[in-house]
Amino acid sequence: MTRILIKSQLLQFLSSSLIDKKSGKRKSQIRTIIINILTVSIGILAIYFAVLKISKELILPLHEQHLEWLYLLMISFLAIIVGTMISIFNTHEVVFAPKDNDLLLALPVPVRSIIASRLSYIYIIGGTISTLIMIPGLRVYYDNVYISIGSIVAAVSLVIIVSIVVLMLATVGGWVCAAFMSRNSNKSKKMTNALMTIGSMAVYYYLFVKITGILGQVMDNAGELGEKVKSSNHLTYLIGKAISGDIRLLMVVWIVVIACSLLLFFIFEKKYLGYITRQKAGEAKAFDVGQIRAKSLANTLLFKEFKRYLSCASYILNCSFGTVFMMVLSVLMLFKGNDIFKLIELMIDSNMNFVPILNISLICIMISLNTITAPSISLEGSNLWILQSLPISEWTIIKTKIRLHYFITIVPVLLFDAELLVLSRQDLFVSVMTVLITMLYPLFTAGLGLFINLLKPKLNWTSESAVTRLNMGIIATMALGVAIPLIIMIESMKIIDSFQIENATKPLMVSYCIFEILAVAGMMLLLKTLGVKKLRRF
Amino acid sequence: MLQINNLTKVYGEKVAVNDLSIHIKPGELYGFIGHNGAGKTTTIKSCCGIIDVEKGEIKIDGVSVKDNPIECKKKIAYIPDNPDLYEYMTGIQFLNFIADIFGVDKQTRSERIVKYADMFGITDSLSELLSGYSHGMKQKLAIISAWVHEPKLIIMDEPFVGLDPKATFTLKEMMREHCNKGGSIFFSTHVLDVAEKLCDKVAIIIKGNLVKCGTVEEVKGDDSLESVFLEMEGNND
Repeated sequence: MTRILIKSQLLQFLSSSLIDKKSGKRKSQIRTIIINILTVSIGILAIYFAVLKISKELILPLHEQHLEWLYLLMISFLAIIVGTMISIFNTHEVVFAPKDNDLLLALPVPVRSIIASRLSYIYIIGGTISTLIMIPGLRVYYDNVYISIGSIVAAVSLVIIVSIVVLMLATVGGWVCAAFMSRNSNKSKKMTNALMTIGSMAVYYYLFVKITGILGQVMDNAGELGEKVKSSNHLTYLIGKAISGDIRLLMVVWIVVIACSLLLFFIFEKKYLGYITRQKAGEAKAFDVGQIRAKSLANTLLFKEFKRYLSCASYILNCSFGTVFMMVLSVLMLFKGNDIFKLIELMIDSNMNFVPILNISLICIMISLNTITAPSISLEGSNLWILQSLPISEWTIIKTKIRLHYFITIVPVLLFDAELLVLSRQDLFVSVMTVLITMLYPLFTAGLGLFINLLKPKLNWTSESAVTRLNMGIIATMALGVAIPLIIMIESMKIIDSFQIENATKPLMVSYCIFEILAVAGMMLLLKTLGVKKLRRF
Repeated sequence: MLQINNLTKVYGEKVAVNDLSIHIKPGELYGFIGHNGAGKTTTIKSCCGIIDVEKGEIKIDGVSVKDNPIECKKKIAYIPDNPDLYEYMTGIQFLNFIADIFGVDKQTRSERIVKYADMFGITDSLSELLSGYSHGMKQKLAIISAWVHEPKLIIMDEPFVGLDPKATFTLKEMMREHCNKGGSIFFSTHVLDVAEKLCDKVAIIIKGNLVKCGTVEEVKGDDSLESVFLEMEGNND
């Protein structure tokens, strides 16, 4: 039974790449294999090289001080943190809020089989991420230490232990999220959802900002840190020794991990049914005719998109990186603006001609981290019939989705523009061009995300996270959005540098602006023709 | 009001609807009867512009669905067999959304929402999120959303599924009243008894082919609609 459910859960996960939505038939195997290999390879390579770089910087000072155990602990910690953070919202969506819960509960299926099938999905997601982080970390480790059978056994054990710990933490985290949300009435549920999302984002970015500082501290004070852990946190030291090859200690770690996971599974099994069968409807505000309000067509469609956006935590979390980055940096710039500019001046050899292009490219890169339109067609899912049957043109639907993306992006952009321009003391022409270019770019990235989604939507999902997690469409939108300003920045700098033209910046900005106007116009034309046609055919 | 001329719809090699023609006049209540997979939903979705028409023509109030879908959709309301509504909205937000799309003024929508919500007994639930609604409540809300803009033509796919007896009675009354006021209704159903008692005209579709249509009396003759339908289905097996 459990095996059948796990298979069904995994088939759901793979269905978008294996099954053709229109014909309902299996896609050509060669095409599927090529697309899957490409998708997976890009993700693996990106993670591999990022972790490889961190690991290489980390191992040297620790190896010199014979603190390899601390290195393994840190890499494992990184894998656990990243794996858990990525899995936690999946746990909430996949384990507690999938649409087929009622169906499975009505079947003669033991609860433990339902849990096992749900958790297998979380294990694959979290385990894959943690293993992808562990592999380059271990590669660097073995480049620097003597390889023994014990250390190999420990390394393999470590990868498995880390993946189990990720599963346990993601389960507990998702459970806490679900329990917290279920205790709130409908009225406060939205507020809870928003607060939890903001809280999670804060943790994400705190860790992101902190990790560089932590690495720096470790590299500067490796010996001291090792001694500190040994003396004040002996348990951590013992775990470190175990995973670096002490087989006896490793056995103890295994026993503890297995015992903890069995205990968690046991408790979870007891509580799961009670949770998912709990009546979900909470206290609602009583209806009165004052709630009947009229809006214009454009506003009512935008309202619908805002409701959709705010109703899904993983949508906000995965598709609004840019807005959060800009907000965080805006606050940072208020306090550390001058220091940041001194650093930038050093980076560009005090060639102040670079600054305007650098400013624009930096903002455009952050803008492209917002991918709100990238899953927005997929998110219509089984509700698509509503828009299809109403007297609204496909182009109006497309424009509304772009408007939502634009509104969420443009406020932090303007805030950030203002701060950058004041701090870098730019003249009126540069200021106007900067604002113009950065106001245009979200239109392009919004159109790009929407177009990619129109090419390959997934409408038959059972959990929203299936379309809002970092999938190929979202990654492609982000990557293309980042690549364009990056290439323009590098090429502009080459031009300024090689021609040594005093006033090359302004013509370059005008060219940048013209290029963007053309890009936006091209994207809108593409959406108005091919995009509309695609949307009509769903 | 609705003219379906020689509609053919093919999925791969399967002919879902074959050369189907139906004409519905203003004020007519038209039932569409057929077994599961006969092509009823395909025909209905084609009328609403949800499915592309490859062969044949569909006109609503003289306007082609293919050439001018927006104009056609302004004149109709569609209620699907399984009303998947926006679960992130409350009932009243959904009704406001539909009324906004059709440009219904505040006073009119207010009167209609209060009237129909009371008739279906869901007034107290209008402030709740649709994610907490049962299938029947969603069906009632979808029906109210259709009536809130009083379209010329209402197209419904199995509208009685999931409704309690009182709501079924209310809906039948509403359907009759709508047609008495000059509007038209085209709906599919498996409930032959309802079709026989409620409809002015019926059409029977079997395996994508229209086998009989006309007034209820013309179609059933001296028999019941059920026996006529079963006999026709037996002949086509």
